[in-house]
Amino acid sequence: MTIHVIGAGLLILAGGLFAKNKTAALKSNLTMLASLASSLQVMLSEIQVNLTPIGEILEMLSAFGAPCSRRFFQEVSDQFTAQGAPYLEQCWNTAVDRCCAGLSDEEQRAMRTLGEVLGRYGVDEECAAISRCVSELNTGHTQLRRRYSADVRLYTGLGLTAGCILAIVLL
Amino acid sequence: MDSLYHAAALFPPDIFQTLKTLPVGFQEKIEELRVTRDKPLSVKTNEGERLLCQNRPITARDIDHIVLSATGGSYHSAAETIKQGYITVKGGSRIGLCGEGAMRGGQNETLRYISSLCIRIPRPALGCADTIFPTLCADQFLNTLIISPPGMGKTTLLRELVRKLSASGYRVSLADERGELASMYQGVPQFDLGPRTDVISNVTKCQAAIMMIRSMAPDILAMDEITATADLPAILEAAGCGVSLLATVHGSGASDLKQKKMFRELFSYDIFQKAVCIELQRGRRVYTVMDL
Repeated sequence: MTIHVIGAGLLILAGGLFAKNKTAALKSNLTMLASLASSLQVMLSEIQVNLTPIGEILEMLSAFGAPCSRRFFQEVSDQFTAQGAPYLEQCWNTAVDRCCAGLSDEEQRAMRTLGEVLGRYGVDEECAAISRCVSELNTGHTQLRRRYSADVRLYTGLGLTAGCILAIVLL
Repeated sequence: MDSLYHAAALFPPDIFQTLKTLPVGFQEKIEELRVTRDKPLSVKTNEGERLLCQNRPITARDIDHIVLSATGGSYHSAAETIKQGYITVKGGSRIGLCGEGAMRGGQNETLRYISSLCIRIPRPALGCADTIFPTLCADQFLNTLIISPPGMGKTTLLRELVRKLSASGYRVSLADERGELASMYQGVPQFDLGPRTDVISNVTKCQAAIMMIRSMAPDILAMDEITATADLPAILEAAGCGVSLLATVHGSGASDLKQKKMFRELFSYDIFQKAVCIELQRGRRVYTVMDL
C-alpha cells in the first residue's frame, strides 16, 4: 500500500514535471525570439550606419548580443571563420538547425531566408531583408505571448490531471 | 603570408590547390590572375600569359565564390568600390571587375553578372628605388611625379619610395584611396611603409589628402593615380602649405602628359619639379629621373 502511495505521488510529480518542461520550453522560445529580433536589429544598425563586415558583426553579437541569441551567432561565427565567406548561407542554416529548433516553421523559414540574402547585396537590400525577418520574429513573439498564459494553464492542468488519473488507477 | 597566397585563397578549393602547387620560382613571378567566365584561369608574369587548368573552365559559381571571398561575405561593405569596378582584399591585391553595370542618374550603381576579374598581385620589391632615391633627395625632396603606362609598377615604386622617405626621417601622409598601397587590415598596414607614415585608406584621395594636410602635419603627401581634375584641389592645398608631393599618374612620359588637356592645368601651376618615368627594357624595369 505504501508503495502504491509512493508510486501515485511519483506519477503526479511526473505530470507536474511534464507541465514544467513544456512551460519552460514555451518561455525559452519567447526569450529566444525576443533575443534574436534584438540582435538582428543591432546587425541592421551596424550595416546601415557603419557598413560593418558580416564577420565582425557575428563576433560582436556572439559576445555582446542579447544573451539567448549569443549561442546562435557564436555557432555562425565559428563556422564562418572555419569555412570562409562563400559558405555563409550554409553556416547560417546549420546554426538555425542547431540553435533554433524550438522556433516555429515560419520563424525558422524567415531565418533561413535571411541567410540566403546576407552578404550578397547592398545596404538597402540587406537591411530590408533583416527588417522582414525581425518583423516575422516579432509577429511570432506576439502570438506566442498571447497563447503563453493559456498554454501554461493547459499544460499544468494536463500534466497534473494525467498524473492524478494514473495515481488513482494505481491505487 | 604573401599576397599570392591571399589571392589564391579566394578561389574554390581545387583551383586554390593548383595555384598552391605551382613551382615556387613561377609563383614569385606572377603579377596577375585573370579570370574569365567559361575560360580557364590565366596567369600573367613579366614573360607573358599562361593558361592553367585548361580542362577546368571558370564557371559563374566560381566567380560568385571569388567575389564572396573577396568581400568577406559583406557585399554592403564593398559596394562603393564595386560601383567603381574593383575590390581590394587582404594582402593588397586589387581585383578589377567586369560585368553588367546598372546606371542611375548617369552614375553606375553596381556591377552585376560579373563576367571577368583581374586580380593584381602586389610585390613589395624592396630596393627597387635604390638607384633613384639619392637623386630625388639630393638636397631636399622635390615634388615628384611617377609616370608610366598601366601595369608597369608605379604603385610598387611609390610604396618603396614612401618607405625610404619615411625611414630617412620625413613624415609621410599616404592617401590610399584603393587600399592597395598600405593594404590596411584592422588598422595594421600589410606592407612596410616605414616608421613615419600615416595612412588614410578607402577615402577619396582629395578628401584624405586635405584631412591629413590639416591634421597630420606631413612633410610629404603621397597619392596614387592622380587624375588632375579630381585631385587638383588637394595638390594645390599641399603646395600652398609647403607640403611636398609624391604622386603617380598614367602616361607614356612627361611630354605625353603635357599634351593632355586634363594635365595642362596641373602643369601650368609648375608644382612638380621632378618626374620618374618607368620603361621596360629587355624585360626589366628602368627608372629615369628628369626635371619637369
